[in-house]
Amino acid sequence: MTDERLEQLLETALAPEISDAEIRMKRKARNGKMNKMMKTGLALAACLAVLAAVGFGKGYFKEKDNSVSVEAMEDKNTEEKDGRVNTVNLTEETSEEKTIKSFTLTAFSAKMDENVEVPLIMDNRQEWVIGGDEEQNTIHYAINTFFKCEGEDIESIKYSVEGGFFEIEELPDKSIITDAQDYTGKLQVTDSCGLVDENGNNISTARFVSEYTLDYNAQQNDTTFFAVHGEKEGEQWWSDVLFYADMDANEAAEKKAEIYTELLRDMEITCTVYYKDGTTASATIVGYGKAVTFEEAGIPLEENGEVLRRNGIPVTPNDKMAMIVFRLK
Amino acid sequence: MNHQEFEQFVTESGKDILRFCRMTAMDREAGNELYQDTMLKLLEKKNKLDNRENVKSYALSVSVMLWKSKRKKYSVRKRIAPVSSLEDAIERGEQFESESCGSLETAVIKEQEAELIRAVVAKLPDKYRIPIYMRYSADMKTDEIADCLHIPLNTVKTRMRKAKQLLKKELEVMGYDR
Repeated sequence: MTDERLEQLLETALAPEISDAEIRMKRKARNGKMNKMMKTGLALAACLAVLAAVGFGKGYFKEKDNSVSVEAMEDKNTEEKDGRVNTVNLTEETSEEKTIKSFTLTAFSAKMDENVEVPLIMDNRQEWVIGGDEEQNTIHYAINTFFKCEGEDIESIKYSVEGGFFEIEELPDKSIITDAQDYTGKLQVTDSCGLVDENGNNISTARFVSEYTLDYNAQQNDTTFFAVHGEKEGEQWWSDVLFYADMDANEAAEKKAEIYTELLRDMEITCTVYYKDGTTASATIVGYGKAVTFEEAGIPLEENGEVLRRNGIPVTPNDKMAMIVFRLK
Repeated sequence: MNHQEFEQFVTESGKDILRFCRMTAMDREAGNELYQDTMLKLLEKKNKLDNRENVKSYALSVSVMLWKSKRKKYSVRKRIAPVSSLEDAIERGEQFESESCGSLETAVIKEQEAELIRAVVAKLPDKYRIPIYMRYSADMKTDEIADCLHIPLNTVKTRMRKAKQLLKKELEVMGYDR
């Protein structure tokens, strides 16, 4: 098929005639107080995250200073870095003796600590999605998580979450989950879009769990992705800020960060490592919102001749953006 | 933007936006609803809109945002090209008096072809599908799409190119213009 022929087909098929009557507005504008929250796009989470199946194993987030990249990077093969810098020291008593064990927990390849915030998302990134529900007045979020443990003599790792649930998308014949507990909490579990191949065909199965266990030696593969979901009743102004934000972008960033913090307030992920000698150690991960300047986030404002813009306006180093950060509690 | 300017905007760009909404929602009724929601949102903000700026581009951004956040509401129903025979069409009393088509049979074939193309496009991942709709349904230029989606121009070009490759492949597999 020639390019011209395809062009002709698309022009004909995708631009059907529309009458003048069809574009008339049928509803009147609501006033601000009548605004309701947006409808949940829970499925969107997995969709956005996974539609870009290119994301697997590519380590979107680099270490500090350049931990978030502009979307221009999306189609490139960014190399995953080894984020291990220090170790988190955790103690565990056994009946026989007191041993000190340590492991390193990384998120998006960046090492986590009580004092180190690992930026997880930025606006318009595909690792994160948020939606609302007009009827239930709730805001739902889904964040792709790429946690990894490193340490000696670890046999397996269990992740559990309070205030939310995990979604696991995987290929049935390539599962790395050794054990999991189905989520039975009060939050609504909605179908995800799953993993799609380049032709848009669904190829994965979704599991919604409150905890899952992995072998230390098989913590990740290219066809498994994890996301944490949560939901919170929103305030009426949230939807305008989150979904429409026609206010000043810097002001919106501050407000978004505030909302992110509120959304994640009750969410805690506990990572428990099981050592070969039968002992365990654990660490708790929390997330919250933060407004930072593009300079602080280390985001290049120009790349390959492309100027980074927001709402059509070139971004300056002091412009702010809202991020979600993770750190150890 | 005052009310008159807004009306003018609807007249000039409404069809492109409605077409985009219907394609994106992959369902006529859901698309109509998305269009109404989009225009309603714009109407609420009309005093802040500057008609010297690209309001159509902003409107499509709002549509995309609404669709993403309301995806459940606009339920993504994958369209399957209908198998509609000429006899069925006649039985339903459909009129095909298109000057360009010339005959009833040609018109039905053309519509079936369009449905098939739309179904194939609908199967594309969102990152390819949305720019295609912006280009062909909403008549946007590449730089306007980049602005609208807040992504670099080259990314739009890459996605369009990839989308067309996928479409060609799919259509050729179906025996189309091989």
